[in-house]
Amino acid sequence: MLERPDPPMRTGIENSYHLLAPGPLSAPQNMALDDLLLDQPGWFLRLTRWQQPVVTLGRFQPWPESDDRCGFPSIHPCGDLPAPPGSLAAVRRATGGGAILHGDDLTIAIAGDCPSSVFSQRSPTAVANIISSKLSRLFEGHASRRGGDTREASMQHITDCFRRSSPSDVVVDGPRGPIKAGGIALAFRRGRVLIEASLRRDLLEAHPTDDLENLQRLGLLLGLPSAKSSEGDLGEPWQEQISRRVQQRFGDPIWNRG
Amino acid sequence: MSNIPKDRQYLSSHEWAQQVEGLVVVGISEHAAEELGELVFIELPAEGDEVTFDTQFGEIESVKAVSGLNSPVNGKVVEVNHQLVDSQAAISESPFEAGWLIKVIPADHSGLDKLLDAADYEAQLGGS
Repeated sequence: MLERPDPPMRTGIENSYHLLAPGPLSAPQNMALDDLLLDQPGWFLRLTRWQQPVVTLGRFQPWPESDDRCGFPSIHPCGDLPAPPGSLAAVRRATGGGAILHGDDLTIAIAGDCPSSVFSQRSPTAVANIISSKLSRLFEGHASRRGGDTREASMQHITDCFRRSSPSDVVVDGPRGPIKAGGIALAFRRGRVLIEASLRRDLLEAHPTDDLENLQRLGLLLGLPSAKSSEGDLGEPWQEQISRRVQQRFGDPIWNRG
Repeated sequence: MSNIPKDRQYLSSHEWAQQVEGLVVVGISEHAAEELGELVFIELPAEGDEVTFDTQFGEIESVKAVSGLNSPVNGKVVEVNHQLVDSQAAISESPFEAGWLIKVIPADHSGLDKLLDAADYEAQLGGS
């Protein structure tokens, strides 16, 4: 039912991490690239740039009907043409969780081995707590990890990730208590983990000019040594594999609708 | 320490296989169920689908996290635990019995021969 992984592409520095910052990609291309990182050896920290505002949906999240959206924009599945006017394209992620509107946020992904020296337990809760603690430290003075013991399963009916509450949320202080400023979602496959994170730039003072520096700081916080950096064009081998996954899955409107 | 029944075999990725009357019953271990936490969705193959040793045959979502399910055997799926689609509670509450995932007619024993026994699996978990 699921295709075998593509052959690994060598990053060149196996004990380090590869910082990927490609130019803006379509929603299916972005999700295909994250999915590809889950099957590649080595560590990757990745800046996600979008060609236009899009919505990503959790891997198994029910397609949101209009009554469920509670102010969330109208969406149509990526790959469906023609798109209804005023509707945003939506693509499924490989990771779980709820829907996220991208465009003004800081979107990043981390992929690496699990268990490993960075994530000693192959446990969603343990990995989520580690990564949200590190992410909140990127915005020292602004953010912290929510913590606590929120029962997230009771929030599955809520479409918008940012209306759900989780101990691994990155939060900032608001006049009526903590405000969710960042959420994460995970996927585990064959000894690897993929973490996708969306952080609200407005609440975290996360300026686009600082994105690469923040990713490098995150690498240090995770205990990863120096990076090989790839900005702009990813190159033909990557693009071929991304195209294949877009065709197989992320560009398919039926798959995206779920 | 999690319960690790001795009457079945294990993949290092925490799926178990039990040979019963010519079929192989497949599930995930108690350790895996505990690590995953609250389960919210599962996707399993259909009856008649082929599964391949150590290759993903399904996915399970606990809160925020999607995890691949790998097959401990080569063969054809003959029965799926459809009750899990509506509620995954049986996996958490009874991973070795009511929480089984699929039953497979093995095509061969090449995969089964490579599985860990309970002692080796326990050692992998750090229990010995």
